[in-house]
Amino acid sequence: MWSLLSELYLVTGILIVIVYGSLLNNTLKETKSIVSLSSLLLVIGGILSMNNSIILSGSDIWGIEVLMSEGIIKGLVLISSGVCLMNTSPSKEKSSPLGQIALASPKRSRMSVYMSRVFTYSVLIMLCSLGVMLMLSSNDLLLIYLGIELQALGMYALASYERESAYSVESGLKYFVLGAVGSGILLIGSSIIYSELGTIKLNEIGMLYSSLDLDGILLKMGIMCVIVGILFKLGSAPFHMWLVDVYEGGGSAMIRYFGVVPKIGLVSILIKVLVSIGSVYEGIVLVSMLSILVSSLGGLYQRRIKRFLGYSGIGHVGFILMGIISSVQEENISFGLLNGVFIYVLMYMLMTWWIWEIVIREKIIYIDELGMLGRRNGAVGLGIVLIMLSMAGVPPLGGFLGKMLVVKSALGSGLYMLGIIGMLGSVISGYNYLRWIKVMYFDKASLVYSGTEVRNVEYPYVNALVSGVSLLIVSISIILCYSVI
Amino acid sequence: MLNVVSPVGDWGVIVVYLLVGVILSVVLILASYLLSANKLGKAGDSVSEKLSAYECGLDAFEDARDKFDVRFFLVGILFIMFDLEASYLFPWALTLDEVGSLGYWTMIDFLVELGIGFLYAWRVGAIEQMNI
Repeated sequence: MWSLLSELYLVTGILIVIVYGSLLNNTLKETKSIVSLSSLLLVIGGILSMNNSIILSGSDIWGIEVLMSEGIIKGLVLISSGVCLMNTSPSKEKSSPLGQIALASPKRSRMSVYMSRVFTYSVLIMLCSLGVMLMLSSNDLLLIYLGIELQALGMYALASYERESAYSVESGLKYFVLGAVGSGILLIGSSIIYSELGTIKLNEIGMLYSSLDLDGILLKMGIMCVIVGILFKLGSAPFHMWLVDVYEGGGSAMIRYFGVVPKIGLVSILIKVLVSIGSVYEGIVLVSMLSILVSSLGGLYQRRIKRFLGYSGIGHVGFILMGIISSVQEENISFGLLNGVFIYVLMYMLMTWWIWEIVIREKIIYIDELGMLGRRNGAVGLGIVLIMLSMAGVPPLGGFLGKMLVVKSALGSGLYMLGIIGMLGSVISGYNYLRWIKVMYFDKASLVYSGTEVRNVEYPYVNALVSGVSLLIVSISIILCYSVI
Repeated sequence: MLNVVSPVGDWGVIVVYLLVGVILSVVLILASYLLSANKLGKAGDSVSEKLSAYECGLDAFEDARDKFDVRFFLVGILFIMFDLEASYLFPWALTLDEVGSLGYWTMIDFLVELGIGFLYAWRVGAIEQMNI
């Protein structure tokens, strides 16, 4: 009973927030308090659920092994949700996450419609996080499906939250249809596994699979269907078509959440399933390679910011898969023994948070509109430079640490083709990321971007700078910490 | 019960059922299409007139479709939610002695959660808009 403490806490919190928001939502101040309450709830829940610590082992940096427990993942999930819900300027302007939700209200909206939409947004984010937590606590294929659906239902509503924008509604619809397909594949895999093995619990599946030594194709197909269902929802190639459109259409505040939290949950589920089965199918290697290639080649022609970030998200998922495959391939597998995956996920979280924070605040659609931003606003420029270099994998930033560990583990467990394709893809995507920097510092100022508008005082320059520097700091601190141990 | 003993087991019955259904529907429609005197597409036939929209004898000047009112959909959704909640109460009521106090409190928790959902739907205005 007490092992489910964090979920119970979250459920109770959600119910209290719903009651509070339904009854006491009459002034703007109360609405803001609801959002702050929800985000505080999530962050405290995150801290409370970190009840097992990370155990670090390995003698030097080249042998980093992170033993990760579920508590850490749950904590990361909740803290990310809390951060995505927080905002510093709860105004109606477009340059804030809350402002975006306000603009998502119908045009002739009264105050109460705005407030109810803000309140619903908080509740939906919390319910999605609850879904991810359920996914993470599950030992059962059915509960994995329930968690995925709870999270996905919230995200379907959130992706199409801006009802006035055709882009948003279309992206929500696409996400819904393709998410349903992915869930269907997951379910048929679960039912095939049940029909072959007689159980849906992951630990029993693991025991039966290793001891029974079945040769049938049906069981393998079942397991493959489960894995493909999860990969579908992660947005890895060749199941990636919907992801780019959803990133482009959905409201930026929602997509910032979407890029971080469900992916962490799904990656952990994938690890759980693979660890319980104890073997890896060559299909996942192919998926990982394709994801990296699709991301790097697909991003070459992108001119819109959000679509570009969608392709880059696919690539990051490819690298995470590479790390998962190479760590499951080794003999001593447990849930937490992941070479580089945890660090890559951490860096991916930070990079995604900060770049979407900047995308939310800037009122631009095309990459070319970033022209001369570096000269105009030095702090934002430096922040974007650091984030982009980190995504490209330039040392000593965080992204480099993640990529190095992942590729090193891939080459170490004999997946040479995967490692080589990973590096090639990284080189090609380097062009994509460096193009932002070039546009910011060397291109003409864009005519669309009105540089004459007064900079919003509520968007401190420090924000953007801290974002990029944080990647630097986190990476350097990890390196130093390991050299000392 | 019909006891079919055949090489394909019970599946043979279903195959026969499927085939008979498909063949019957196809034959009925195809026969009426092939044997009718006036077919679609020929000049002066009586079918294309029958298929056109009726607007009191005049030519149709506007699309007959209306914007779908989402209130109908809301009624359907809310009905499903609360009707299913009520229908879950029935087996629970009958087997309460077997599930004991854990089952009792579980159902109370379920009712409370759906009740809070109802409160939310009420305050947000999903029920107010249904003044049809």
